[in-house]
Amino acid sequence: MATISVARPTRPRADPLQVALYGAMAVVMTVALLPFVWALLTSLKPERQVFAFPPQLFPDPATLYNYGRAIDHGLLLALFNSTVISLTTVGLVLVAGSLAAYALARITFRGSQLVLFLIIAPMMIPGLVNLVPTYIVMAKLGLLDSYQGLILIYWVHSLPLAIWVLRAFFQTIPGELEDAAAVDGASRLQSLWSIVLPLSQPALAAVALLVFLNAWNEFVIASIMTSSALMRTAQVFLYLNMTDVGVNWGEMMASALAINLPVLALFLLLQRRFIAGLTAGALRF
Amino acid sequence: MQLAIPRRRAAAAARPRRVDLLPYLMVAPAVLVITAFSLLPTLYGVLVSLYRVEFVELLNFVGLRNYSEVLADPRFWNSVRVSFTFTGSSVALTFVAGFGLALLGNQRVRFRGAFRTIALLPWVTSYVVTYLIFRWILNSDFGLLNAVLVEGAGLPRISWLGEPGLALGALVGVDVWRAAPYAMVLLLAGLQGIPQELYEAASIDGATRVRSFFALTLPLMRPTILVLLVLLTIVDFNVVVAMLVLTGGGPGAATEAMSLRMYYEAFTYTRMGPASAIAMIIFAANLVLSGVYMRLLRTERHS
Repeated sequence: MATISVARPTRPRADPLQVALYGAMAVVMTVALLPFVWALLTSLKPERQVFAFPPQLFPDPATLYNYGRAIDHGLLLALFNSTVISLTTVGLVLVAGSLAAYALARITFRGSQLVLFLIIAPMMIPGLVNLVPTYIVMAKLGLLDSYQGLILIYWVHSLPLAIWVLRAFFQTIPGELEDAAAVDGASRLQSLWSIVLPLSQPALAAVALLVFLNAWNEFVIASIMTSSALMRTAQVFLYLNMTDVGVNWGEMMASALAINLPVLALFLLLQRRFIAGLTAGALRF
Repeated sequence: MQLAIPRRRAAAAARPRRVDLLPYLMVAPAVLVITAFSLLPTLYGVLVSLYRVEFVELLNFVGLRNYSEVLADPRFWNSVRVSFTFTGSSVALTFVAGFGLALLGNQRVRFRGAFRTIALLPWVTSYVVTYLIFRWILNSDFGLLNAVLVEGAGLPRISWLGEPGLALGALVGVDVWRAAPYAMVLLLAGLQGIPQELYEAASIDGATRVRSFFALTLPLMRPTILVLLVLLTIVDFNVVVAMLVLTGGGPGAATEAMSLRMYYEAFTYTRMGPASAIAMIIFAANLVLSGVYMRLLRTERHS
């Protein structure tokens, strides 16, 4: 997926095609950014400016009042819940995923094809289909409204893609490195830990980001699994505030932006890895 | 990789015949949780759809009665219509917009990095956040869009989410805003896989840019395009949150897709039996789509 770009002959400056190109890019960037900017401006307005028509463009004076209100209504707890759930999911996916991917990529064993099939098959089952049975199973196991229940579901949902991507990546690492280590007496697990995993950092990072993003942004399962205010994830908190509290748009926009900030920050810092994860999911399949 | 296989086989033959437990232990956690909490629940879902269910208790076997109940319900057929209208228009428009973005993002111009970054922001944003922001923008009393129309163009206020056709249109529009970047990333990967020499050769032969687009780019992109279309179709077909947050399925049931219908049946009315029947019908539709997907990938690999 490396960027291959060969210089085209440079064109003269006033090329109308270039002008149109930059114009189109400007329009696209505006359309992509405008909703976020509007949400930000709304979140900084005092209530009477939020509900004004025609709307006032800029808040006057800008206030963090809406953010304070969101915090009063439980924003921080919701962010904390989502952080615990998402990070634990990432950890579990990386551990179970690397182990399984390594065995499937590097060790010949009877039944490996069946194992691969069992692991990949769920990718063909849309999450929606499992919603009702998952709810019933979780209710019977007493895992509704708990961290463990959600983490378990997110773990299971993320593993197939993680194993698929990691297995493909492990296969590209030359076997000679491990053979040398084996001669020196390293066990399979030692060579996974000290040779394969360090060399697989790009793939591990891409998988970790994708899993975090999916867990952080997931709503449907979280909405059916959490019932108490204490267990709400960030996305559920946001949705329920919309339906429960009446709609105070200033506060809603404040919560929405605060909840979106972690994934936005990760994306801006680690964009390349994100894109690698996204395309890995779709194209390596 | 090819070199590694015979060597490993030789090693396996030389070793004494003793079952190596290590690989089984390594795959065990993944296989166990996936089987228990993904594969078995799917089978259990089939069972649930054949039972009369009260809350989470399966009471008695009723055969296909849940299915016949669902199929006799006009709201179900309405949701089928909504699903297909939404998915069809959203996929088509997302594809066109995504292709445009990919062509732009592939140009050698300044700010290309910034362009790609900003264009991708909608993709990392969650459904709930996205649709909530747009619900505010489309608000008929205080929304930004009506402000621009009324103040800027002197048009009357429009109730974007209050009219059946407009509400569905708004859903499609926001979905395109959200999904076009995803389409862009996949299509860009495809575009960058096309050897630049082909374009140079074509331009030496006197082909215009437009002509090389239709004669080179489109045919070479065919596998990527087909995969993208099926992926988008599956995602749109299974979406719940878009309707739930933006319109709640309304006005009336004008934007109540099959997926949302199932969600409401199960978790608003706690009618798990009929909900499971709808889930199975959605599953069947997905299997057909996945089958198409696998076929397309197979042809891609062979070519």
